[in-house]
Amino acid sequence: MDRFEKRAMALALSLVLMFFGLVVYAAKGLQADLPTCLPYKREIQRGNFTEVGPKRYQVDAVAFMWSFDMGQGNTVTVPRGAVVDFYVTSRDVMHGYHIDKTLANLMAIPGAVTYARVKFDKAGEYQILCHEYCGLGHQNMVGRIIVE
Amino acid sequence: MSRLAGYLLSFALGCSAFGQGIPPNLSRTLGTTPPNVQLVDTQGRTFRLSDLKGKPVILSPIYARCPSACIVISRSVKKALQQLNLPDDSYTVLTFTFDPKEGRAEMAAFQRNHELNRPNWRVAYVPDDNALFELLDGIDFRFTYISEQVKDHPNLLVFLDKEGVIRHYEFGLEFTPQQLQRGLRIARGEYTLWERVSDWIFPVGALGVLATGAWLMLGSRRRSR
Repeated sequence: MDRFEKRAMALALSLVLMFFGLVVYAAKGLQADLPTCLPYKREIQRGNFTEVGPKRYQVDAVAFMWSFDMGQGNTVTVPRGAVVDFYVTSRDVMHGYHIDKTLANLMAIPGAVTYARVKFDKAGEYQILCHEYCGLGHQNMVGRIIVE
Repeated sequence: MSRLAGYLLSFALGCSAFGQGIPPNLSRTLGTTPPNVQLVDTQGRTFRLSDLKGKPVILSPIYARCPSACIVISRSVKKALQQLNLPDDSYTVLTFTFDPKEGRAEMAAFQRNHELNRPNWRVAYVPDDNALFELLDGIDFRFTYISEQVKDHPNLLVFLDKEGVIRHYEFGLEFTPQQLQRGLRIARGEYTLWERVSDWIFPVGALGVLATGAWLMLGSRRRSR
């Protein structure tokens, strides 16, 4: 085997090991959930914000060019310690749904629903960003979660 | 022909069973003990989860106003247990509502309508909403609010061992005697050889691939010298 080929293989194996370790750390150390694409068709036509229990909320978020509809416009307010289930879809093209300072990073896909659960332990403002280029107004496509 | 129709129906039911709700993360829950919450059964008796220790427990989270799945689940469990014909003192079934808006009246009606009358079958609710969600988190049961009347939820049974530790989940809509038998067997600590080794197959396989790659590289280095 060529010397450089061997180095490339060693590098590839090391990267595989490193990524495997990071996946295990994310799952066990950070308790990160993998983003879930719901395995059934649940159509969300419009945004919705529902309190399902004490400090338990559900956000049905509909992304569109160029904002988010979460039932109360593009901003929701929850108390500190709230556990929020996000169900995200798109009305038009592919968008992104990244909640800053959290591990939630979803795609908003027309005709599909993605899901993540986030617990907001710290008060403050969390920006929601579209991280999938979606057209001329992409840079203005933001939302907010206010944790009081 | 009727057998083929039966297979197709089972397949459709199976698909719909797996296709509902957000599945629990078993790597987080298996081997853990759910919080020892207080429940109230349809007779008004208060008890804690720890009071059920001493024999395997089948947890069945449902909601009483469910128009479809929860009814099928409860009826199939009842039928499967009748077919298994196990002694009543060898296990307990605990059906409880995951809907914080439901209480004794709804659960009593559910029990009455579906005749869940075995002496070892308790139908209950958790009166404290915080405790209810702690219990749901403990078994990682996540439901989706569609409307006041309708919730999407995974269709499952959770099996606790005699110490109250989560040992097994069964998924499905129409539970069979085989599924309940398997769950109760695992809850009793009786594993097959496959069940003992299956968790180790992926890590051992991954290590094998890496070790083979390293061995090939080292071998080629020696040969090239």
